[in-house]
Amino acid sequence: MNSYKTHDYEGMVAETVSIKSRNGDFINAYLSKPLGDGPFPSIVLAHHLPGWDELYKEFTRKFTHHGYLAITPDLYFREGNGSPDDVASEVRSQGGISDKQALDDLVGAADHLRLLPNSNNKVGIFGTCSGGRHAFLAACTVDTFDAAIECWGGNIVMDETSITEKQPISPVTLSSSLSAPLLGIFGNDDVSPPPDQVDKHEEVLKENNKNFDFHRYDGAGHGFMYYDRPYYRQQQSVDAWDKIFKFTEKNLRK
Amino acid sequence: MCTMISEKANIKGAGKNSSNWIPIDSCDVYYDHSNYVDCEHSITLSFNNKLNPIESRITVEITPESAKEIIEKINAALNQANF
Repeated sequence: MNSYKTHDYEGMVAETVSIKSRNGDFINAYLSKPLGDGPFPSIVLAHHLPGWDELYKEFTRKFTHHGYLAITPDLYFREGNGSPDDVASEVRSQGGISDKQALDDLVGAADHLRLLPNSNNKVGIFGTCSGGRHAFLAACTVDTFDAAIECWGGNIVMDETSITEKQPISPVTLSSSLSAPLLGIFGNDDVSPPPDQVDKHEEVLKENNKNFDFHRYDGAGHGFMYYDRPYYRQQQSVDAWDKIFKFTEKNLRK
Repeated sequence: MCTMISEKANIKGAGKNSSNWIPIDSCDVYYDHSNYVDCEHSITLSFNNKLNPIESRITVEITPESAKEIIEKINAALNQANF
């Protein structure tokens, strides 16, 4: 998708930075910024279960390419350093990270963006997989975010057997507290979340008269926008990115 | 979201990375979306040493059918050895 003209000037700075989590810890984050005075809208990215990886750093720069201050905190920073795959394996073996820890870091990342001198003070949140769940949770539990994009967030609808100390609340039960417009992106061939859970997710949002827009793609499963995975689906992915940027332009740019 | 289906086996053995043999005492077994193998879900075996659980990891990702095949062949080998 080309959102610019060939004679436009374009530049960005992207680097690893240290940010302060809401709980006071300092963690690493990947920050990318368009060059210029702005003011620019911002986006926090909640990375997926496979970790703070190259794909997510590229997603971060993709948002900046479209004119956003963008940041992806390393949600696994406390769990150790190493290859993203190996860190993610270790996190997975520990049952993931706690929702509270993730939310602390995502709110800290949003605060970091708002303090940048070229911020327009509007911050959205984007996430896929576990990050999609975190994006929805964040939009329901804090009023920091002005827009939320949830891509195939699983465990939004949790039964009692899925509740753990780290994930103590089924996010769907928080739907009445959703404080930002929500864009949902899902693949109909996904089994986590399966279509019936997306139905339930949508139904509860409707019951609560929430501002949301779900797009559900045929011929696509989990992670269909991951170009480095075997289940990448080009047409659905291009369309989803188009919908994502239309949504962020509408809700964050002005 | 990924499945989070994860099991841990406490084992005794050694694994070879690109250059060295290292002692391993743990194997995490996952059933989840594949990283590389061309299938929706795969089984990942991530062998590691608990003293250095991140950097010690030696990981393979296989299809669920392959996992069953390996289980069968391991059992066949153990049976032949009367173990």
